[in-house]
Amino acid sequence: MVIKLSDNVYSPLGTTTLANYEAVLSGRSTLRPYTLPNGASYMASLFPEEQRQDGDLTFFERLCIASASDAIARSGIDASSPKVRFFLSTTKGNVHLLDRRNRQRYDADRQLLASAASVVSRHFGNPHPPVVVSNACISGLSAQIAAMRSVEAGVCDVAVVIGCEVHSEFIVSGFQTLHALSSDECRPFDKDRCGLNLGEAAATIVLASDARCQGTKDRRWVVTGGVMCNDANHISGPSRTGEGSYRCLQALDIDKEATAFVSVHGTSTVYNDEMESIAIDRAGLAQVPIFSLKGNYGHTMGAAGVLETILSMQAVEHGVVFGTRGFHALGVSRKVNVSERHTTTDKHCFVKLMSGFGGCNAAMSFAWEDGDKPLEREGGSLGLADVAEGMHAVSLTPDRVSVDHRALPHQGKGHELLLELYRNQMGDYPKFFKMDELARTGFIASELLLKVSPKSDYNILLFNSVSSLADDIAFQKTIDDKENFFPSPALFVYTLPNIVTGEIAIRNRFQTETNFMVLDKGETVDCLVMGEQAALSAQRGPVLTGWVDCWDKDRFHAVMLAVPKGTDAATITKELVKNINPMQ
Amino acid sequence: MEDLIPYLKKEIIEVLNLNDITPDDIDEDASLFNEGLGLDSIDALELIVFMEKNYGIKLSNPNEGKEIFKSIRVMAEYIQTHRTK
Repeated sequence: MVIKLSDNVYSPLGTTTLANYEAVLSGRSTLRPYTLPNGASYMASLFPEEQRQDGDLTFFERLCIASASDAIARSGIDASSPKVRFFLSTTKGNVHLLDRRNRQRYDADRQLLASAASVVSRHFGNPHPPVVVSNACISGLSAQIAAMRSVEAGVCDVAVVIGCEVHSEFIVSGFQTLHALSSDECRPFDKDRCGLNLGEAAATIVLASDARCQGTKDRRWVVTGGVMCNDANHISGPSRTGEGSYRCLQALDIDKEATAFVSVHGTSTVYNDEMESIAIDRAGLAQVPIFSLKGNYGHTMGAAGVLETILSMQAVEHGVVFGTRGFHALGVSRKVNVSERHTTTDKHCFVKLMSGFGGCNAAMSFAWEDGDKPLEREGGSLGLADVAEGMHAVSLTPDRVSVDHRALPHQGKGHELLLELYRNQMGDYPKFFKMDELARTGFIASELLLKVSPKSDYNILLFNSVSSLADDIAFQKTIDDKENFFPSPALFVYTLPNIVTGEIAIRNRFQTETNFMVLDKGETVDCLVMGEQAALSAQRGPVLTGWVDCWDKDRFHAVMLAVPKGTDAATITKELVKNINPMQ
Repeated sequence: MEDLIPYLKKEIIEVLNLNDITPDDIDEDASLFNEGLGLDSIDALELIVFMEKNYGIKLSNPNEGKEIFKSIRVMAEYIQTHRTK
C-alpha cells in the first residue's frame, strides 16, 4: 500500500501547502493580463519578474528545488538514500533556453528535460537517474502512477514526485496560436467560458510504502488507484464521447457514497469541459460535486496533477469541497454537479481527473484513512514468478532496420529510409505525412513490430533523451523574430514528446494507457530504469515499449519491444541492452 | 485570380506537409476538409497563420475559417478581396 509522507505547493499564491490552501479558500488568484509580441493579450498566473531571473540554476530548477526541499524536510526521509527515487513531471522544463536571449549562460544540453532533472536530483545527493514524465497535461498524474507502482513493487521505498512548469513565449505563443487562451479570467464549466489561462507553479508529493508508518494510528493519505487510458481519437482534440476519461473513471471502481468530490481538469476550454461532463455523467458520477482549480492557478501544465492532488487532500482534511472560481452558470451538455461556492463534506475519499494532448487521460483515487485500519489492498509485485516468453523487437537507425534481430533490406538512408518503409510496408495512412520526425520514427517502428507480434491492445510506454528537441527548435524559429512572429500551431502540437504514443494509439485504436518518459542518454543504467517501468506497465497488460529519439530528420534511433503481459524487469532490460548498446 | 489558384495549391501542400499530393490532385472547387483533402482542425489553424503571414488577413475567430476554407477557389476569392499585403 502506498501512502503520502508529505507535500509542498510552491506557487505565486504561497510557498507552502497550507498557504496555498488558505489562498484558495479565500478565493484568491494571481491571474494578471499580459501581452505577446504579436499584440495578443492573455491572462496568466506567473511569478513576479524579480523572482524569475536565471542564475547558477535556472528559475525552473530553483522552483523544483524549493518545493522539493520543503516536502523532503517535512517527510523526514534521507533523499540521498539509494532507496529513494526522483520523478519529475513537466512538459517543457527549461525550454526558454532555446531563445537566443537566454541561452548563453549554460551548456547546450541544459535545455533537455533530463539535464534539468539531474540538476535537481543531484542537489539532494540522490544516486539514481531521475525519471522525467512528459505526458502532456496529465504528466502530474502519470508521474504519481509511475511512483506508486515503483513503491508497490519494491523498486524503491520512497518516491519524490515533483511537478513543475514555468512559462515563456514558447508555451504561451503555442497556446495562443491554437486559439486556446482566454484574455479574461477563465470560467471552468461556465456557459460563457472562452479558453484557458496558463499558470506557473511547482508542487511535490512524497510517496512511500505504508511499512514506514506501521504502528502509528494517525490518519494518513492512501493512494487507492491510478489509471491511464488513451482516447485513440485525435492528437490535440479531446474525444467527443469522453472515452478515455470515462474508461479511467470506470476502471477506478469508485464508491460514490464515500467520495467527497472529483477534482476535475476543468481547463475552461469549450471542448475539454464538455468532454469531462460527458465522461463524468457516463461514469454515473453526475451527482458527485466537482470543482476546478484553474480559476485560482491557471493551467500549471506539468505541475497541475501534483498541485491539484495536494490541494484536494487539504480540502478533504478540512472538510471542504472547493468552489470553482469563475463558474456561475452551467455551460456543458450534461447536468454535472459543479461546485460554485465552498461547501462542507465529511467524506474522506476523492478522485483526481485529467486529460491531455496525445489523447491521454488519467484518473487517480485517494483516501484519508485511519492508521490502524486493516490492510484491504494487496501491494503489487514485479511478477517475477510468471515470466512470459515471446518478446519481439524492432530497431531502427538512419542506415539500419532490423525486426527480431534480422536485418530488413532497404535502399534509402535517414529521412528517405522512413519514407521507403512507409511506402513498402504501409502506404495506406496519409496521416503519416503530417507527423513530425519523432512520431514518424516511433510510428514506423511500431508498425514493423506489430506485424510480427501477437494481436492485442498494447499499453504504450516510450522513452528518449531529447524529448521533442527537433520540433522545439523548429517552433522556436517561428517566434524568434518579433517583427515576423507567426507561431505554427502544427509544430507546437508536436513539441510534446508523447504525441508519438497518441499517433500509435490512434492508428491501432488502442484505448490503453499511454505514457512518455525522458531519461539521460539511453545507456545501460537507463535501460534498467526503462525495464523497471515497462515491467510495472506489463503487470497490467502487454506493452509496446522502448527508446525513440530524434535529433533531426536524418538522425533518429528507435528500439521498440512488444512485451507480453507479466514479463519481468530483468528480461525487458536485457533485451533493451542487446538492441540499444551495439548502436552507440 | 487564376494565377493565385495554382500558387495557393503549391503553398498549401508545402505548409500542411501534404507530401503525397501534387497540385494536379487538388480540385479547386472541392472541399478542403472532411471528404475532400481530409484536412483537420490543426490544419485549419495553420491556414489561419498562413493567411496572416502572407496576406495580412487576421481571422480572430477560428470559426470564420469554416466559410473561407471551403475550397481553394473560395479561399483565393477571399484573399483577393481582403489582402493587405
